[in-house]
Amino acid sequence: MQIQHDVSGDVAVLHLQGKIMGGPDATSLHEKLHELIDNGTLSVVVDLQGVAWMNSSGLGILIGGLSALRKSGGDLRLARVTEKIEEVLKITKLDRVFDIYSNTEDAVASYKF
Amino acid sequence: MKTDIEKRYRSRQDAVVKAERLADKITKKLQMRETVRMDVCIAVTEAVINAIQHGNHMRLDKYVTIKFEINDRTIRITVRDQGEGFDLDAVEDPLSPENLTKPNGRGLLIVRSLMDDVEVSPSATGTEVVMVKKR
Repeated sequence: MQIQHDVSGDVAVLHLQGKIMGGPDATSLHEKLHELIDNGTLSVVVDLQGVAWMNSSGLGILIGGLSALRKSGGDLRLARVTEKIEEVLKITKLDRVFDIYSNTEDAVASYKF
Repeated sequence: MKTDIEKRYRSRQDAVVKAERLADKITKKLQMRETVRMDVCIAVTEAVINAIQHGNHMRLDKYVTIKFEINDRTIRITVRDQGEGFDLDAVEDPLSPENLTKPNGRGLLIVRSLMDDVEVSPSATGTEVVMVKKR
């Protein structure tokens, strides 16, 4: 999995590419999210358009990042969720936990309100 | 026509990637629909993660065996660990409000949702997960 990190104002946008299934890929995402939190970035958007699917390891990393950010007064929002990931989010009811946006611009803009 | 493919992996994290690559290759060769292929690949990774982490506790002297049995109608995948089994009734419900934001515990729920038939058989000599998907 590859991670591209963009910044839009105070918001960090992580564009992910590949499959998230556990192992080194999940570790790099976990480290990236915690690096952002440690550096004081509290508004994060994860763009999933390049991720065909993820398993429970990927969900675990995202939910771990979400919990850590919300504890610090921030949030982690999802954008451009692909069909299979949407299905897995529904199965696990995490679609009710994450704020999900159809594009990254709307996800970034949501932090302004 | 029936084809069987069996592999054995040491209980390391890379077993997940190796098993997924194998599932990806097999389902591609079978020309299964993309969404069905994804279901199979996700389920394989979930079952292997459970086997190496919860079954074999990442012990390098313990192995995970994965077997693909393919016929004209279905693909049947068996994942077996060398752990001590577990109490299925004691597994927490990942959908209950108190568990919803926990980082772990969703693997079996996802496997049961994506595959057509799933049987989990824990025993004192290991746990066997059998997953069936229509082609």
